[in-house]
Amino acid sequence: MTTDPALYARVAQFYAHEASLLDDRLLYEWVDLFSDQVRYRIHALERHQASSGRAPILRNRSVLLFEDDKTFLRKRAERVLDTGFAHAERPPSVSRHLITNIAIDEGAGSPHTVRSSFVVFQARLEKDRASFFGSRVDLLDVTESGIRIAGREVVLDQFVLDRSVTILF
Amino acid sequence: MTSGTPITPLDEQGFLSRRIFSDPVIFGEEMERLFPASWLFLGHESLIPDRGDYITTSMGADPVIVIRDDVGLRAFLNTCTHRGNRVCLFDSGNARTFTCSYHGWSFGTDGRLKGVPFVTEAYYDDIDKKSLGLMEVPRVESFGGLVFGSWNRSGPGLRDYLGEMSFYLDHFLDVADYGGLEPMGERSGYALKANWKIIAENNSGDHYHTLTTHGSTYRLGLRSKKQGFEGEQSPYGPFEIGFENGHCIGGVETDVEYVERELEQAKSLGPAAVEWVRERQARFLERCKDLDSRPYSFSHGNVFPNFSFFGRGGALNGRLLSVIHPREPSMSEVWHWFFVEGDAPEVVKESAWARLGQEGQLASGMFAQDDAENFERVTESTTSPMARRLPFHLGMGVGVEGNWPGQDQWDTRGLPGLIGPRFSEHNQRIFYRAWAESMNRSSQEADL
Repeated sequence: MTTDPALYARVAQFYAHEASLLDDRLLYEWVDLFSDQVRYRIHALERHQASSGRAPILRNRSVLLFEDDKTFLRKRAERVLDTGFAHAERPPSVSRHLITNIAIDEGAGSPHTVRSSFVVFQARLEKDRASFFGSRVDLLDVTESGIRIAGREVVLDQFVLDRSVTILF
Repeated sequence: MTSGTPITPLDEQGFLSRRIFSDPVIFGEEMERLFPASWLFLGHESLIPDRGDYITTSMGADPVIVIRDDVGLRAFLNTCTHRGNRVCLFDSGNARTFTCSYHGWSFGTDGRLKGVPFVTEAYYDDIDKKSLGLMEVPRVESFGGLVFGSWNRSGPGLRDYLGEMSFYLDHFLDVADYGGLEPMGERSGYALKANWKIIAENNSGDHYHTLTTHGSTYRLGLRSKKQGFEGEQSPYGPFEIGFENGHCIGGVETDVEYVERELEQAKSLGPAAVEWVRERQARFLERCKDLDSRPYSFSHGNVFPNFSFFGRGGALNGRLLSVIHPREPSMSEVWHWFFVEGDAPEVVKESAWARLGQEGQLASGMFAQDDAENFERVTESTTSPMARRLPFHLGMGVGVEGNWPGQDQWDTRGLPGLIGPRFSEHNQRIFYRAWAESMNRSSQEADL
């Protein structure tokens, strides 16, 4: 893990800013935080028992729910904000993204591999509540002029999800 | 029904009682009678190819292990015959034994009770192991790689149960002609606060909801309005087709010119994809050369009670298999398994998968998000006292069923089932009639 406090501060502030864009539903601005070549992936988990030799290897396998490029991320934003037909978000849900456990891998320079964890609360209508927990591994391009997300892999800490996914992580 | 009074939720005009979605007694009857008497989807053979491979799922409210034994495919209730612990806690895997974490009883892949710790000291060697094997699902059968199970020892076999639906399923699965079905990705699932029937009946037809519910995908240019919704019913579909026992084809087209649309779409994926669409078309025409009408492009359908499938087109979209697990009157889980055609090029397989999570039926997909919204709000409406007195209106096409305007123009010669236009609710009526019939059959008829 890096011991560069300045880098850590920049990344932490970047993540706080990113979370506020998501929670304020400034989704186009959020998409602009990604680099043009980004691959955005979100996984859920499946409990798989595999045996190899005498000792069973126990691991959870991931299943890919999102496999988007930047163009499609923009379509997701447009769907919610501008089509008028994203019924699952009309009225919009409210959310609160809490980003924590930020760890920047030791490395020569940009791009940096950065891990973080998140808790997201979501509420909608009278009684609908959901919370999502998970982890992110990002590839961050850190330059003088700013930070861009060059790659993101999210793992949701769930097996069968509590609900369909109408927000982003 | 144990009360003895037959349940008749649907009248001749298509009014349907809302009570059947929220009444806990009815839900209990569904779990105790309807589901155990039916054929229920367990999985696809390709998920458990080798000896000892297993997956776990539910048959209605009953948790089961589906395993490939020496003998073949088998299924067992996932509960220790001692004092009830679950013997398998994984979604999938490979095992030679299942050992209960409570007292260590162990069972073989044939369900036999093999090991009982301290059998001499604790049981004085006096325990009838033979009668204490895992409870086995008495009938497990396959159709085109789809594995179903039933607790009902009597009643029709799977093929008879599927009836005329099997003609369409056979085309939908297309096992041999395109390199078979290859699983892609792992099982995924999500919960929603909806009664299982609200989901299953939508998967049985309902082209009527597509432009509204899924309007965002059209506005984003992900779908083209030319796909059969504007203007009059095309002679080539889409058609909604229902069958006696409640199975439904939600949508199928007989238009082999559909391939032109697919060639257009394939261009963005590259020459390998374009080549594949052409090659596949040739195989399709060969396969269907003796048919009067060719069921080319499927969108969706439902095998009664709760197995749904999605294709949306021919060459580029893979096959999504889905089961709707009923958990509570107002809560279900939808599970998905995805398959691609074995001979399709990688670029086609990968884009098919990506689209599921983008536009389609995975929890993240645009279709699933807005469908779940509807299903949850509809289910909510079946719980409030005054709303429960107000029936649903499933009257679309009631007066013209079997005799639709323009029906003689349709290219459906030789296609079985009650074939209707894309805007109709006859499939929903067929679903609920079959549901009522299954519920009303006396428990003595099902040999459980």
